[in-house]
Amino acid sequence: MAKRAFETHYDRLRNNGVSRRDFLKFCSMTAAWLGLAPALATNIAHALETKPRLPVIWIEGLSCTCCTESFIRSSHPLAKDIILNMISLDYNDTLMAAAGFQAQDAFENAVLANAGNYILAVEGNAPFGNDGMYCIDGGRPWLRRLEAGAKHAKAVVAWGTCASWGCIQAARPNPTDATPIAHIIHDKPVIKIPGCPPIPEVMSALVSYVVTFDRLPNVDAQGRFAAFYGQHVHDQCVRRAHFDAGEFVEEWDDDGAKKGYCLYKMGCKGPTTYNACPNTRWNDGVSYPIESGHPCLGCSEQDFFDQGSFYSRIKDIPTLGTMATAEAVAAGVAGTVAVGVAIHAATSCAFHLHEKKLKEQAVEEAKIEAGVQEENRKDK
Amino acid sequence: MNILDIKPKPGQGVYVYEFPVRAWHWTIAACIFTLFVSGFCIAHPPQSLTGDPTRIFHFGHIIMTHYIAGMILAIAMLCRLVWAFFGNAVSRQIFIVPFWRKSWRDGFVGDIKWYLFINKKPDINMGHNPLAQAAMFLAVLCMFYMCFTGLGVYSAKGYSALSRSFHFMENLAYNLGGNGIDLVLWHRMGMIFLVAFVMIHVYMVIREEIMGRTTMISTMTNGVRMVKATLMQDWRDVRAEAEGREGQAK
Ligand code: SF4
Repeated sequence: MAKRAFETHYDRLRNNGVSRRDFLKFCSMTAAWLGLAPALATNIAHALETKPRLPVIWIEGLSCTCCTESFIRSSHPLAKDIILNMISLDYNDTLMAAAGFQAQDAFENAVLANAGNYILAVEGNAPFGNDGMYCIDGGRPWLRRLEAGAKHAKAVVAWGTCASWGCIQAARPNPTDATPIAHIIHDKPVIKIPGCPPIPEVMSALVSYVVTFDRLPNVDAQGRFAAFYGQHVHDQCVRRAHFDAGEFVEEWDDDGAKKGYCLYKMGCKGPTTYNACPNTRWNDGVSYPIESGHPCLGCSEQDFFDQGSFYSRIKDIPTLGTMATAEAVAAGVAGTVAVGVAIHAATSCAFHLHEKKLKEQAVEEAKIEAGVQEENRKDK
Repeated sequence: MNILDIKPKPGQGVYVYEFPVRAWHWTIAACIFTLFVSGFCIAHPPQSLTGDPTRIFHFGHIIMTHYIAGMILAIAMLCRLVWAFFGNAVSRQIFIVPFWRKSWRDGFVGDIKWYLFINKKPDINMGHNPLAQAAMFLAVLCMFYMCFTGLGVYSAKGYSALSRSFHFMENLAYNLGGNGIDLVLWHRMGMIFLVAFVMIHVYMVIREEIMGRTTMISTMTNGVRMVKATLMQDWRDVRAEAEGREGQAK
């Protein structure tokens, strides 16, 4: 292998003990996830072998670190460790050994060394309340670090639901005024990869895509990575055949649950959630929540924490100062109208009968009058 | 002469609802009924079945029914909108409410008084009475709203040109701070209005048929609005007239 002035992704993978066979498997897998033609897997492999590595700087704001946690546990059965190595993090608060001033320097060095050509992966979001005092990093509001990191980045990846939509810390009443990244960074492309946590493979696919095609991937109208967020969970779900058949889990642990029936009645949010869980799956591709028997929470959707119960698809809506389900409101309105109609109908009947009586009386009177007139005429 | 200004004598009628209007009315009536029932089943699926899902497609059929009825409704609404440009004055009434006209407002107040039993005699309208016109205008708006929210939910499932043109509904939900589930919620909320409308509409039509001075149900069937020959309320007129004559004679 010819020595190059720069390091490629392939070099790094080989240095970390990934076999070429696994590398090629990873390339095929990625091409499939991205929806590319099978032949393009060779393009990906070629690009990863010959082009300079795409550095990723990973910063973490107001978040629970579940994204990183999930990330370091990710590994596909075909290519253990490949994903973590693919990302070739140049800076990550949680994973790196450095701390304190050393870490600060590491951040600044990583930004300067890769200026204009790294991807800034942002986990968590920035609280705006009290001038950003709810998230302090290196003695300053974390917002400053986000701005510094984004300034020289090629693109910003909003990694996870926190960064994409706001997630739990932005749920009502959002005391810290937590704000998603796309509302803060306007001068750089922001690619949303929502999920709580998001699927790690999406990141390696993103890096592969950028290296191979020298451009950012397509995003949908909401800025999400279109290849992974183009379909509802429901439309890829392993239990979908049961849904179409009308075979549902009625309660936990009933017969249907044991047979793996659809979790629609248990409040599954799959029908309105965009994510790729059923295709990529989790934990070495073992399973994903629905497959394991729990309804989808819709964690990759905006505002998912404010949608009422996790175990109901019917959203709560504010009603007269309390929260009621849409269903209860519907029943209330329909009931009120029905009662109103019944009362009005009863009154109308009474009114009608009264009018009828008046009319009959009038007719009677007219008859009598006519009779009297007739008699008068006869008399004359 | 504007069809709305014709004042037929008792026992006479005017052809007010042209065929496309009547066809549209009964089409959407059937669609809405189907949509209510299938929509309720989608929100509250029937008792779970068991069996080989390769061969069973029951819930799929329910959803399919909802989709097909919804599509027919949407097309019917579109056709009706187009017909308003070609039809008679009555066909435009449900799209334009002339609230700026004094006569319309007076009629509106008069209708409310009639329904509150204050007026003993309803007005004769060849088209819709002003109160009904306002309600139908809202119902038509609601129907379009249901078509848009429904197609918005539907569009998330596909990439056809039709689907893509309704993706904006879902984006609207996102831009308002929610997600696709809000679209489903909005669709349900619209349904509440339609249920209320249908209940009141059916009640009012039956009531008018019995107590009003013109035909209603047959009008939507054969298109002719008759002024009833024997008007119950008219005895008041006859009597008032007779009393007036008597007074003059004296
Ligand atoms: S389990 Fe959820 S996502 Fe899967 S088919 Fe049923 S409703 Fe859809």
